[in-house]
Amino acid sequence: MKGLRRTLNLTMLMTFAVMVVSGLLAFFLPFSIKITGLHALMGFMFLWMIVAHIRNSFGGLKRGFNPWTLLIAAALTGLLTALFIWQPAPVKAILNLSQNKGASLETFELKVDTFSYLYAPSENYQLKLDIKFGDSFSQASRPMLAFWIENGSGYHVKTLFAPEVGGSLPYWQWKVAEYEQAKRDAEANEIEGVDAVTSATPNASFDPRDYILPERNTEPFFLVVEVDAVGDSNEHYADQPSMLYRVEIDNAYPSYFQVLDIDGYTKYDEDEEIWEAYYPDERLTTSLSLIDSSLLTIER
Amino acid sequence: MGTRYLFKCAVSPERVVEIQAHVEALLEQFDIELSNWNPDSWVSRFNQSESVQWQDAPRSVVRILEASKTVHTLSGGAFDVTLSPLIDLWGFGSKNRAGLPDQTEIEEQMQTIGMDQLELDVSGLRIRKAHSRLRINCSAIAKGYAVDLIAEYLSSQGIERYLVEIGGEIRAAQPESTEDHWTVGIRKPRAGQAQLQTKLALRNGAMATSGDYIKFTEADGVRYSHVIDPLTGSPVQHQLHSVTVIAATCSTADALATACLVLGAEAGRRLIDEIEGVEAYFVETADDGDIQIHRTSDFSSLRSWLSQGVFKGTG
Repeated sequence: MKGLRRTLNLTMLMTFAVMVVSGLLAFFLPFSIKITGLHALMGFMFLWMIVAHIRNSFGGLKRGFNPWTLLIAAALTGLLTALFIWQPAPVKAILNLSQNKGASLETFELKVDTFSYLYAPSENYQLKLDIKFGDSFSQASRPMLAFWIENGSGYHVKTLFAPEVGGSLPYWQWKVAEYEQAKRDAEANEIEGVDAVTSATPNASFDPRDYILPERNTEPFFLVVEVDAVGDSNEHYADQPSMLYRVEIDNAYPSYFQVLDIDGYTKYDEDEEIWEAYYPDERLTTSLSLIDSSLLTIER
Repeated sequence: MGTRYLFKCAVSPERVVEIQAHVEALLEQFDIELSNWNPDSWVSRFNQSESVQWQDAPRSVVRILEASKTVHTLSGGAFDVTLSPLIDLWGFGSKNRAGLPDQTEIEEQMQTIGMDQLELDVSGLRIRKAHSRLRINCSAIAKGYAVDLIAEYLSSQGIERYLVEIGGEIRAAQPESTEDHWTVGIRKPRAGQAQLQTKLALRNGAMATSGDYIKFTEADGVRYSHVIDPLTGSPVQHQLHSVTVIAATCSTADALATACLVLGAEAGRRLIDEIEGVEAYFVETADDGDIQIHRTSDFSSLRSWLSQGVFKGTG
């Protein structure tokens, strides 16, 4: 019995430690279903442990119980809850340290010839992308696919879907690197010891909801898809470049259904040191039929 | 306004909340009056209206259009706030387009633009368009004007030391009695990079930058800047990537920066040299592909201001 109690206490301690660490990670890092899931799982475990602990140690707990300890414990818990609800400046400052912008419901469904993606950044907004694969798309050759949101100035704002390794999706990788650099620069506003920087209009925000949600943004933004089949050679290319598809989303003129148009093939401009989209020509063959059609559905 | 803002000023902590609330209220009012993105703004309603009668306008709109007309005249028409039809035609506005417009389309839209088609009654706060299709878009001067509004508010509150920045447009002030200055950077005009081209010291004055490096489109392998030349109706083709203008007010600096971006480095320098109290810094790609810097005649001394700590604007 003593051994069981010790094991239970030790498990409780460890479960609690994982809960604390995952809770802090959930607070400081952007939303992650893995971290939140781990935290929730440990929370359930912890509840179960408490029940088991009370059952095991009921006698001891009963002896140590008195109305004053109950009152103090309840008052402390109540005070912490009230501070959270009231949020005075110091508490707000601590809460503002969080990078967690909230849960975003994202679901994927991959079938033989279609791919569906659902993104719901708020209760009243749902963005669904249905991609129908074309004749040259085959699961065996594992084509790479990424899609992301760009703001009106062409800045990457949020990657919605991307492969673990984006080696053959250079445009998306370059856009993400540009975004990360801009974000670092914005965070270090006094970069290189200056009070402010003058420039053409820069990125306004790094919270994707500021571009996506109608209540926050009435300016147009874009959904961009990049697709590539590795090693899809033809007589002009040893490996045809990746293809881009794009659609403009304008909350000021809402559409329920929108079809993505072909934007071009990707190519690196060595003079400008940037990746760009070029209008497709006759040198491209199978890469043009990796995607048959892409339909965007938005419920606002 | 669709962009971020920053202001720094030396005030007691108790006043920060009050000042921030007022600044946000100013920006909100500004959006209600001047935004082209807000369909309910005064400017949007003016654009939708087909009336050619005098229309009462907010003071901010009249002041911006008055400043715009001045820069339009100074720049020989290079600055124009009535370009919306051409901006849309080229796909740089709220709607993209496939392919490039042909000359007939351009000429047709050229009939619908022109600052001379816009009449102002400054004292009576009224505006009239000469034809029903005229539209205005003040985005090339609006951020600068908003910076001026905030700067004027801070000055009216007795704040002598401040720096205001909205979307890369800056206005700064320091008390006459001190040697202090603000250090400001000019962004390197290359897409994908956010490094500084140079740093300057600013005491009292404004600084604004226009560049083609954030917005552009491409067709048939040719890159088209989002900057439209009002005189040709087409995007500018020169290799000028960025112009930074220093002036007493930010609206002037903002509008002149856009005008210089249209004119190109050489004509832009001539324009700025003719205006007293205004300096400019140009970044362009030379024929051999190297980045070339051009400065107006008195701009060379700007770098030394950093060590000497003085740029005294007139306003």
